[in-house]
Amino acid sequence: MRSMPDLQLPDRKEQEKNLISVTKPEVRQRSRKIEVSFLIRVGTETQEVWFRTDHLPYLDYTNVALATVLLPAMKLGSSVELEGALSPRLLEGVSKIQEIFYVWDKSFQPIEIKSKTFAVDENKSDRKVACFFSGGVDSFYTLLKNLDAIDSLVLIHGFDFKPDFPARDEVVRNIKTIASEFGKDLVEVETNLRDFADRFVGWGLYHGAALASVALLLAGHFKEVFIPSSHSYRWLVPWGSHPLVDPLWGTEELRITHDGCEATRVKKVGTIAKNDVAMSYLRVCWENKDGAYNCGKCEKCLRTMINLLVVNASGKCKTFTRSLDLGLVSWIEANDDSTRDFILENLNEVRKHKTNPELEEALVECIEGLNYKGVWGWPRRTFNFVKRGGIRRAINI
Amino acid sequence: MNIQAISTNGKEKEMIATKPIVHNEGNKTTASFSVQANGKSYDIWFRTQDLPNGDCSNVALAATLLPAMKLNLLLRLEGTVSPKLLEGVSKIQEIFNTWDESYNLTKVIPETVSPAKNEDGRGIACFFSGGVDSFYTLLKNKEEITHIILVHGFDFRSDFKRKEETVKNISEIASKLGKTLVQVETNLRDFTDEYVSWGFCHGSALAAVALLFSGIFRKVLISSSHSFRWLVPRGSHPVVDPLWSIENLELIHDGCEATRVKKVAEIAKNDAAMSYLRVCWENREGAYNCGKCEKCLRTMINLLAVGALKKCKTFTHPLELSRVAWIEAKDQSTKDFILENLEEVKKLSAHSELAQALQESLDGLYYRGMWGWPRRAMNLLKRKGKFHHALNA
Repeated sequence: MRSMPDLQLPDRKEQEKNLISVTKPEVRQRSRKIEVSFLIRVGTETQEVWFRTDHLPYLDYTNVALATVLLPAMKLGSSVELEGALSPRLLEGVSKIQEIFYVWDKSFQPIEIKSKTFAVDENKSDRKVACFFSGGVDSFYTLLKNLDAIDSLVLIHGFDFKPDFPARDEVVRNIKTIASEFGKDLVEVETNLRDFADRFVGWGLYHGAALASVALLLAGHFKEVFIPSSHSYRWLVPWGSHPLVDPLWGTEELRITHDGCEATRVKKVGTIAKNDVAMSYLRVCWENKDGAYNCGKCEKCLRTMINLLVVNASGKCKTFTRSLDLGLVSWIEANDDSTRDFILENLNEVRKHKTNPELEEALVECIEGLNYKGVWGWPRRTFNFVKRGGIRRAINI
Repeated sequence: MNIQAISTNGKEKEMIATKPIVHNEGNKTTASFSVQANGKSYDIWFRTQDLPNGDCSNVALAATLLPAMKLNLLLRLEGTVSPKLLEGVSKIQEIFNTWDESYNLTKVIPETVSPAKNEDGRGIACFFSGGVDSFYTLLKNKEEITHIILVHGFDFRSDFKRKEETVKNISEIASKLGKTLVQVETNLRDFTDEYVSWGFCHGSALAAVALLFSGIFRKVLISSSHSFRWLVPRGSHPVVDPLWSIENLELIHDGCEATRVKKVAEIAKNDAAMSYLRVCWENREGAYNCGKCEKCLRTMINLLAVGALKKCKTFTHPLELSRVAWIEAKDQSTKDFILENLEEVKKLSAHSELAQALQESLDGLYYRGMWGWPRRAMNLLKRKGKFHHALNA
């Protein structure tokens, strides 16, 4: 005898389709590393996400799984079912995170989170303080500002810093040197998280959740993890890692702190320029054109070189070997508000010092998007190209 | 000689706030203190019904911090300040300094530092002006909120045209929703307006009022005007407001999770809100809501977008499209509100003309030099109907 009317079947199917289920994270030894992994089932597809590092206690890592799947689930409008135990505080934070992402972008739908058990981790004493560290301006600033508080640096393989990264070995070696110069431990974490997340959510909005996943993974070691800010309080736009969002990923046992919003990038560079280690190993480049450590040609390199120039530290930084090419500066494409803000910040400083009118002119051109304004810009573009020595450069090449 | 010169110099670089005195007069309590700065002296007072006796130097700190930063003066307080507030204030300083370098990082030196002593208050209050943000926060937290606070002397000044009617309405709202109305009068702006803009200062001014009630309220909610989408430097801000909290009183910035359209949709479900909603500060021709200023137009479109314009009894003037098109979207905040409305109106097929008018406002069509004139003239005539009349005649 059938107890349910046929009509309900499509509903149940619909529900099943709109459910993301996550297995309880497993912890196991894998060669010389410890691996935490869980399976995420989206519709009919199942994908494994893993994190590997040197040491981890055998705990329930369901909090990590929640941070990993939340945004993709919101994007799909699917509820999430987790097998393990969640932190009540994280669950509360996650409901606020959902509100924030929904206001930012309506394609992130508020969703239901189902978990069987809730547990507060037992109070672990003797845990330390860590900081995510990539060797860039923001990382160095947060490390130097909180030098006494921070015990360990965390380097992640698999986020921006992917396995095919051109100068990888050199970067890892340098970050090891930085850690030992400052007397800090270095914790390296490898993960395939982006293989899953990139299919659903852009990295710009997702990277905060990704960092939170790693912070939660390391909650057995750390009571507080710093996430260095990329933007200052002047510029709080929707962005994955954000001073209002990051702390909401914390639990009863782990505080996640978004650090450094009080400083603009120029001010940060002004601070780190006083440190020899920073000036020997600063690394900001992701493009690594021609395999260089800092290519000196991409927007981020140019931005940082100008930052260094305005704080009178150009000659001090050993990792920028190319000279600042004004032609490239004027051709920076200021196509998003974030890039524009960084350019404006530099422009304001250059104007204050009044010592470099050519650089000021190049930055103004870049802000005005002169080199991207159709056919009428050509005469001026050509003129500026010749003026800045473009022909000479071309002939030399 | 030298020492004297230095000490005079030192004095010039200080702002001094005296220890606030609380005194009762009939059924009113006044907390007052004076501020010496810039060679001038200001008497600042806050008047309300019942206040506990005690040192309210925390209030003085909130009232003077931003002017002291702007004038680059060391801030000396002759009373006791909460250690938690001092910590918050150092973060607040960093934030304002990042926003605008003309707000200098300054030293704050209280006579003594000690946690707020009075017992935790029991009440939970929210600031209330009768507008969209106030109503949204009040209705969202209506189980929890026990008091609403109306401040005389901030936006709502003594020369406000419909003052008595507004106070009467807000008292009725309070009694309909079963909340106690607390009214506070203050002359704080006579001091702050000389040095800092209201846009930057209003958060600290609200904090000063909230801190008066340490021991009476344990939480005070400040309703947001902007959502998380739009966190620009502004006096009242979700990152800043909680930093004004002390040990026994928490300040909360509420409502950032909702855009203005969403807020209006929520309050449209409430009869009291639809009977008394008040958003207008211009009150052209003495109206409660003039229906002509940017804020009235913005709210009327919000109401239209959620299908509640007719329900709201306080907007009697019809929505004029020509006024919408002429809204000057000169700052990002106004632009954002227009954009939000435009997104909503585009969903309603019946209002394509309104969408066009909003687009024109956003494009600044009527503010673009001489080339805009022919189009401006034509649209004006078209919308007034005169053009069609002339053609038909």
